[in-house]
Amino acid sequence: MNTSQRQPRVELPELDAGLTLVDVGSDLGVTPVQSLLLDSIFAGDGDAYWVDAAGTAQTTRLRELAPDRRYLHRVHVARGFTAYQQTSLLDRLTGEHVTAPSVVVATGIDRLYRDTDVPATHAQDLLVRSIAALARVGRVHDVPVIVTRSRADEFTQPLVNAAQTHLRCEDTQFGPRFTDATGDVDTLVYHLGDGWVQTTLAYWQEVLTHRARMHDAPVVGEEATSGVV
Amino acid sequence: MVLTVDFHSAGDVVRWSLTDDGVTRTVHEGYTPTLFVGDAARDLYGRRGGPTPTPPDRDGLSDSLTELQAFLTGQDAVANTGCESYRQTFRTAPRPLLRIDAASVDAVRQIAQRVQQFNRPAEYTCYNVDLTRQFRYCLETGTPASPDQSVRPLRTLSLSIPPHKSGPDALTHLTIDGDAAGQTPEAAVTAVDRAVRERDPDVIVVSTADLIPLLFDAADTHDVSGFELGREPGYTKLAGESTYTSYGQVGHSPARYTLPGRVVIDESNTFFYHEAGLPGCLDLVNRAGLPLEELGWASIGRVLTAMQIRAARDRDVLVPWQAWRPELFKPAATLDAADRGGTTFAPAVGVHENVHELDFASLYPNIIRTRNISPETVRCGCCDTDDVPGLGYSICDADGYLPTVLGPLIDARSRIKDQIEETTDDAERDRLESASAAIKWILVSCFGYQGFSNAKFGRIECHEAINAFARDILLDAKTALEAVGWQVLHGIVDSIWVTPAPDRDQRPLETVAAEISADTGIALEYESAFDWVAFCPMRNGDSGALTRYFGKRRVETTPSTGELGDAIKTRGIETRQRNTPPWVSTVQEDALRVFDATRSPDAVCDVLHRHLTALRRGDVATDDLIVANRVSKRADAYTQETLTVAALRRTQHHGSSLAPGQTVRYIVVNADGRGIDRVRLPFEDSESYDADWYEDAAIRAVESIVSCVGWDRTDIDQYLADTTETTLGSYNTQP
Ligand SMILES: [Zn+2]
Repeated sequence: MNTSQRQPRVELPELDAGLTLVDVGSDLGVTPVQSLLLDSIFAGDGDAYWVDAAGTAQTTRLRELAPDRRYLHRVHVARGFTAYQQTSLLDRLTGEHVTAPSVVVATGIDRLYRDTDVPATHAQDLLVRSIAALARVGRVHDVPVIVTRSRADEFTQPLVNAAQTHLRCEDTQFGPRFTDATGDVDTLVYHLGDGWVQTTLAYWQEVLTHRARMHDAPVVGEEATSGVV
Repeated sequence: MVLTVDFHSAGDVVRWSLTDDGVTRTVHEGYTPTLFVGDAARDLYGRRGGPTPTPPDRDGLSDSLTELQAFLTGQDAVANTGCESYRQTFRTAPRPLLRIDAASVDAVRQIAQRVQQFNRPAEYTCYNVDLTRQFRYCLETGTPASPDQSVRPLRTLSLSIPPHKSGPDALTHLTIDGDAAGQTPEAAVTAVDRAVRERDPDVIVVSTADLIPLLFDAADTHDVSGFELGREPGYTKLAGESTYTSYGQVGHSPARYTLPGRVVIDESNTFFYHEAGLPGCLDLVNRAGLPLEELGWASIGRVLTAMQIRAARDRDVLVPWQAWRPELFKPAATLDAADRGGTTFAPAVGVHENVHELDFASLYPNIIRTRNISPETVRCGCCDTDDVPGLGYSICDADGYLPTVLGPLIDARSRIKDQIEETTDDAERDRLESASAAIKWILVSCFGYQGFSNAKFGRIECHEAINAFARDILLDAKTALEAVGWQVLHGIVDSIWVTPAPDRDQRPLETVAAEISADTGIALEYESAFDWVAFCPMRNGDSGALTRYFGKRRVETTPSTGELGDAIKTRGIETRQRNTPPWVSTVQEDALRVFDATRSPDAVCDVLHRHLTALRRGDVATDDLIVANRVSKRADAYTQETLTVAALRRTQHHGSSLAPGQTVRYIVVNADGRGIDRVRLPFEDSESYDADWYEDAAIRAVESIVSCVGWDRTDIDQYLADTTETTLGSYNTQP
């Protein structure tokens, strides 16, 4: 990709081990979270585990974003379709079938608990239990755990309390920007500069290609250092 | 064998069975329905979960189950507790569980909710909780669920009021088996009372369940002494009307009532009675073991579930209450392959001559049966084989339970089809066709139901595996056909259309089909030869358009007027859709007839022009312009002001209301108007209609036809404008 002579500065927030809540502006969808997930794979040896309760685990976008199709073998997905399935899945993340991940992602953690087939008091208990299960995942595997929620309200306040980091990802006129409430994080992913008009997809593809190169991780069309990425 | 089962609040149960001249009544005192509570969810599905759960070993009850037992003992809702071993999943051995006998059927759910709130969340898993009461009774007591029709046939009585009527005055419109009951509510109630006494029906079919309280209230108001609908006094409300949300969908279920000693079927809340009639329902009662009254209001999924529950019980497996079992982790690459969806080749859009259609018989159920697909066999964990094409999932060597549920249905349906061919008795044929229709619905739905998240024993991996096999089978069939001289024009799920490839010799289709059937283990049947078939292009923003087509069957002669019958096969276009007004269907069918004769879009547009002229002149009867739409939610739950919403509001305005699932009928009188004045209801005898709106509908229906020769809306509009000019021109030059 030689569209620009200068080496662009492409940044994504550094994630610490433990819970990171990411609130994404609705127009950006799940793409920023998928980008953080892929970025963690570039940097680490382990695989990514993704528990989706938001109905967002469609692979089309992930396939489009991944700089190499082989990364899709390193992302392990399981979808919760009921509040109870999701509860099981979050427990399973510390089970024997999940070994040495480099990142864990849980999207839409609150969504299924809002269904009317779950009694309200029970729903709050289950949500708190799920947050605790995710915190445990961070401790047991010593990895970043990225969490998103379907709505920011009283119901999901326990998540805000439990998260070590609370990021917001918003679209600005210069491109997507990650910030946190304390001001410790302020990452403009990639300065678009003037005259750059791109689709969201093309933008993130470019971001991820740069990030993969930064970590010496394979990018399609390049000679991979080995057959395994 | 029972006709129906009544439940008394004291815990007694009354069973009703047929005798030569009536019924017998048997009281079962002290019936205590049973539920079970087992290990924490995490021990089965969480940390220790996986392909084969490995809960920790134990002899008796765990500490936490013992604690729960102590808590429940002595509660009013609980009759007894104990320890008994059962299997919690198809993949675990029997384990000691807490058995709870409830004081009554109503106490079961109450107990389950208390269990859910006791101790930490997700500490227990509950079983055999949400079974319907009659089904549960038959299951637990080993009572056959169907009435013994060898004693005598069932007697039915049908009570009906028009859909737009409600309240006491509606009774003046009441009919008994189609005959008017009386001109006043009092006369109607008296007539119903007499009919019920004289006929002593086993089944009462009501147009709406609301009729039951309405009749009892009116009997009260008018002092009709001794009025009864049941075989004992009174009636029971089983469930209130309710609206619920589940996974983003708003659902609605109408109130349900029952009468002692009789079966109530609510025509506004029944799928199988509509689709298969009483004979089909009774046939299915026998197969599913779900008693008639419950089968009456059951969805397809509920009937399938009843069969699965019986099969699970044969294997000592309990019925989970909540869906705890999640899918297994899989690489995104595998999910990507699994998500490719249904099997559809991109069709060769346009008109094709000399086409043959071949169909795989009951493809999905047969895949389940022949490939041993079942929730406990796919990615089983004990076999390390690559069995599912493209996904690499293993399928266990051990026999799955789902094939044992569907196998008998597949066989029964083909046996019934043979009997239909053979029989010369019309009544017998009707009965057989009803039975076949009921089974067909179970078979066509079993695939989709596997992917439904709340399905008991459902599993998304089964759904994915079935899809993967279907795709593979269709692609193999395509390859085999192409190898012996056939060109494949289109394929959808289980159907393939072929035409002879130019400049090649063809192996006869019967021979190829037999070879493919042998290779796949599923019969590929020759469906029909067509003189021509047209595959419609995609409509803007309509991804399902690959399934829109029409074609002229060979041999059959096209009827010159009226319905097209079997001569022209259509799928996905307007005339197939229930909500299309009869006039629009007529326009489209005339267009199809002319298209068949001329293959000329001009000639088709001439037909359209003739119909539009009549429409503009006001010559179309409003009865032919009725739009019939299924109501999907309450009027106030709709967010957009569609015509259907206007019609629903207008129905309310007339003092009536329609529940989701019912059909609202209306005539469009002013689509651009406001509120309820945009439409009229059929009984309002409107003389006028919105010609612009119907013209648009007719043009769209004709566009579906001519789109296959490359015409679009603009071409039609242009042709109509030219025609109108010509017509006017010729008119003006007339002397
Ligand atoms: Zn196996």
